[in-house]
Amino acid sequence: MTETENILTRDSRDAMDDGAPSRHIGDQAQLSRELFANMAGLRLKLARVTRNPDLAADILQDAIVTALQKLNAGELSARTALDGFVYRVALNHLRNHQRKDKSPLSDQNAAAELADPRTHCMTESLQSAQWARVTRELLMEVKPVRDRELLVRFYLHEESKQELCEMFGLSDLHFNRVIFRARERFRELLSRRGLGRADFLSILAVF
Amino acid sequence: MEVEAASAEEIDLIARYLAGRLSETESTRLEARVAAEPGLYERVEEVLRLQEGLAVLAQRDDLDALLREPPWRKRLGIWAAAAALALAVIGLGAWWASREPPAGVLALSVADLHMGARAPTIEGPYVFARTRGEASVLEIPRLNVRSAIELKFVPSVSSAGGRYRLTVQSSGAGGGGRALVGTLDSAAFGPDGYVTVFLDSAALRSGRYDLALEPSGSARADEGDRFEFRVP
Repeated sequence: MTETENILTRDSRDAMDDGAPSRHIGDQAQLSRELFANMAGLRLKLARVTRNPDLAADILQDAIVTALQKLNAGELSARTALDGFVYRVALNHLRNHQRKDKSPLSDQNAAAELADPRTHCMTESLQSAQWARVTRELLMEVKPVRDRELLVRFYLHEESKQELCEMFGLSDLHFNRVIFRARERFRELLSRRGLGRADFLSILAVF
Repeated sequence: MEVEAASAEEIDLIARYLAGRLSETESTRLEARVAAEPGLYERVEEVLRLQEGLAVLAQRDDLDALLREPPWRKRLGIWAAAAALALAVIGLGAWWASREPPAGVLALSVADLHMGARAPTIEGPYVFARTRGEASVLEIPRLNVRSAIELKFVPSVSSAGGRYRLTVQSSGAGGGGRALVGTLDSAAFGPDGYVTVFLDSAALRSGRYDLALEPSGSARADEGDRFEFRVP
């Protein structure tokens, strides 16, 4: 049984325990699956932060279940509010983990025992590989090479805009242009490869 | 432009949130916005996907190659720089060869050379006259002090108006192009029987120079005298 099927089973069971009408179970299972797929970026970010892909999937799934319960209870009225709520809850988890991650180590030897986050997340999911392919395509289109470095340092190394502008001698205007155009192009490339958000939304039109 | 700036600001906000660099209040505010603003979470998701894509490329050690200038592009850059430099040199050479002669390089008197307030040193005189047989090339030493070089000519052709035109050109020795140094159109016989002209030494570099003394107003290129001198 795959990871998604496991989650769906648990989600369906939760929905039934909550006494939701049986005709909603199938709909909610599908909705849960779509939400899970649409938030793959957040799930993988959580996996990198927690260094535990299973835990990341659980966090996201819990957020989805909570949101569905709220939807059933009428606390959430709109479909768009559901998306946002799930994301908010999951982001909150992410922030909590980041906060913990930054707390100083009490034992100096503990640092050596920590898993290397790079190796811990070495297993690439299919989605990661697809995004990597699109990202490579994007980087190859960006000219000059300095702007590629800017993107890598901003998005991957999470260096601040101010630091980067000072380091590269860039104006706000130039920085904004590079960041904005890269994002627009990335979105376009994702969409062209069938990896964009719109591809999932079309499935969700039934809700 | 405003859309670009607003979007970039939003991306920056999202990136700072994801990097854990927002304050507690800012984070809570962004999370509330995500819940309330349709579409915002999709933009967060895009940033996350781009980050994940980059992270995978970094894991595969693919980023270094993407951040290096391709060798052919580097070579192209060097060739382009070399070509630009060559063009600049050629252009400068062409300009140098075609430029107007500096004013006051040749004059009928030392005073007309406009060489400053102090009375200049006079070097020479150097006498040019057509002679039979193989004439040796006159040498004018390279002068450390700016001087007025006195040139005296014995024209072999008479001029109807008693006036001569003197043209001085560098003859391209030493790798330079043929260039006009100066011209003077009103030289005349002096009381000593020579046509005397003064040349500013600052106009001379090492190399050979051609002198053409022709009757003023003459249209014939072969009419007149040709002399030569060199500066070591």
